[in-house]
Amino acid sequence: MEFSNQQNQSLAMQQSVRFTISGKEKNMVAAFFLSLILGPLGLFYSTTVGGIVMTVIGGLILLASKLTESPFLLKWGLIMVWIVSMIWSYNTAKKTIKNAEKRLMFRNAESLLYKILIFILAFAITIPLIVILVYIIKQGVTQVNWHFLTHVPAPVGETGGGILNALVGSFLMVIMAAIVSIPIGMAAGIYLSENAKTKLAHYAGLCVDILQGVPSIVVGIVIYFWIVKPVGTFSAVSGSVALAIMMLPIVIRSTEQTLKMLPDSLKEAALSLGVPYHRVMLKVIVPCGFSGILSGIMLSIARVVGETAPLIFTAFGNPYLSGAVTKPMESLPHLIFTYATSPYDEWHNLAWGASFILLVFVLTLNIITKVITRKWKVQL
Amino acid sequence: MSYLTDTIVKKRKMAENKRLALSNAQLKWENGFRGLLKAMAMVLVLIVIGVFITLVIESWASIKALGVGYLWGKVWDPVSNVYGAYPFLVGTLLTSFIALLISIPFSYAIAIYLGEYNPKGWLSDLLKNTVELIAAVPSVIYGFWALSVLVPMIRSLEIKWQIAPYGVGILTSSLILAVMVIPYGASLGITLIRMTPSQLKEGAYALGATRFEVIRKVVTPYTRSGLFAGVLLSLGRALGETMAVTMVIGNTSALAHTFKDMLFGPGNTMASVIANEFTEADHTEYLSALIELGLVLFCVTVIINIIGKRIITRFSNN
Repeated sequence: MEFSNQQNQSLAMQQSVRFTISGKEKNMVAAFFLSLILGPLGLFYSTTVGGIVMTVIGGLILLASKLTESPFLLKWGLIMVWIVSMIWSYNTAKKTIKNAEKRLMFRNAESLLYKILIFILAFAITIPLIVILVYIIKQGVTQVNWHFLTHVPAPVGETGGGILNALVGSFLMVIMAAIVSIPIGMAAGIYLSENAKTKLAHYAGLCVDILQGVPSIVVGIVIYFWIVKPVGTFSAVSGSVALAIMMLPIVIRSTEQTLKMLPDSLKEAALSLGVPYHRVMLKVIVPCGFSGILSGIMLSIARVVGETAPLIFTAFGNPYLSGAVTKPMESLPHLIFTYATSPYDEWHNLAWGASFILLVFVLTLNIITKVITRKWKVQL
Repeated sequence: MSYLTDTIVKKRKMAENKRLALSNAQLKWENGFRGLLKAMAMVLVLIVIGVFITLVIESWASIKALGVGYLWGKVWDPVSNVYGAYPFLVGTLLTSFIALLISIPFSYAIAIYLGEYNPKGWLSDLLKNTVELIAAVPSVIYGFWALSVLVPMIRSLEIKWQIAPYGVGILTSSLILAVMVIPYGASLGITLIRMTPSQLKEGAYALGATRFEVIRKVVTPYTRSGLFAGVLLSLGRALGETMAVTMVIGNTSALAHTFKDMLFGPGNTMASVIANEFTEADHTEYLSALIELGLVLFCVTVIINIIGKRIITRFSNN
């Protein structure tokens, strides 16, 4: 606990410094209001050095804004100077107060203010979520009906039309991606949890981190050169390979983390009964960690079903209903992207309906995952 | 009699052989399974190496033709075959850093609230779920919402401030990006702040520190490196984010002259220019210049991610 000693020492040093140097006691409230009104000049009341520094900085900002003739710099520069001098004068005045009771009162008030500030900032995040969700539900829910779900988009100028092609396309591509990536991801995850010390595991772990951070558009470019260009056409297969690469890191990490949490005695007991290694893994270890792996898989599906960037250069998009996996295929996020950036109102409405469906699907998957993890007490 | 013993011995031998054969088969299965696991881990490494090599090979034409100067060439004009990445570098860095600046106070507040003030209870569950839902919404939906709500809002503000009313631009994309990266910093921050040893905090309380002082002088310094890593990882996210930014940034490759025009006017990021122009690129040099942008993006995010993860592992091992 070297750290805590240092902490205590530095605290003690600050305390002693505070009580020896400070001379005359100054009123904090007066210091604060003086600098609120007079700015850097008001700072002279509590600290002369600070007053000089802030006045010089203010003067420099005035000079700079005169030279460059930018009112922008003048306005924001002066606001910054004012705020800094207010905080500075309050803090220096606080350090001069000798009465412990009075100091405690201010410290408690500070603590309370900080708590309120943290609370407000933390819960401010709910505002954008609610605004976005409400707006999309309001715009999208009126579009969705049976016709919408069972027809392909209408050409420009005609009303009606639906998103059947995108629904089918998204479903097919995500299923194909899952079929490719779940076995690979689970196998690699088992390897990482079983052989954590080997060199290969180190590099594989590094690669999982890298893959998790790779921008999805880069995956799209690479799959374009791996599959689309040699074959000569955009295809649903290439789209699902791109999605599979996006899914891999999540599946691997969730498998690895879940299996690492299982007690070794499970594996040892099974091995001591003479059960071969692959059966121990597939019949004992994986079923024990099944809920964790399952929730990882569902999270990864929820993530890739909304991915657009890797699909632009691979699956491309298709205004007609198509089940051919070697041809271009539409998907929900791609449909939203193309129709949202189009200039037609009917297409916008179609995109709102599609957004609503996509959002409902993704949020449902997330909520189901939460229920699973809570029921089996998995930590992800 | 001897016939009987013979048959017994024979039967035993047969059983023994059968058992051996079975265990040999199982051994084969076992080794095959181990090999399979190893192969899959290798596949993973190969994918990452393959991604890097593909990017380098495909952008080699532009690397050779333009050299390092590509990164600060100020003009991007495919028609006259002039390629400079500077406008996109500026656009990417500007959007990401503004988004980070906006998001840091909120992620820090969420992390402190859920990690220190209120780790359990229905209110913190609500906040936790909100953060998770924000991370779950697809980026194309954020982009669409920003396009139809945020852009008109910014446009009317710009009219009020008497700036050219584009609506779309760097500021708009930074705002939507800020909302999108808050969960990444916050969720990491929560786990890190909970890892602060309670002896340290209790010691500070025993010395008479208030809660604010404990957070400022014990929790924050202790978790500083980890929080920095969280900021790095969300920077990595912000740099590579494509769809939402593409939809609201305005997509011009021209560089604005003043900072104000740059901030409020349309621009382009590396990811958005790739998304917009990749399928239109009709000659090799254009295409490979675009791929070089992808290569730069890949390298930067890889470096950022590795540094961030390393800081976190070092922090959690302490």
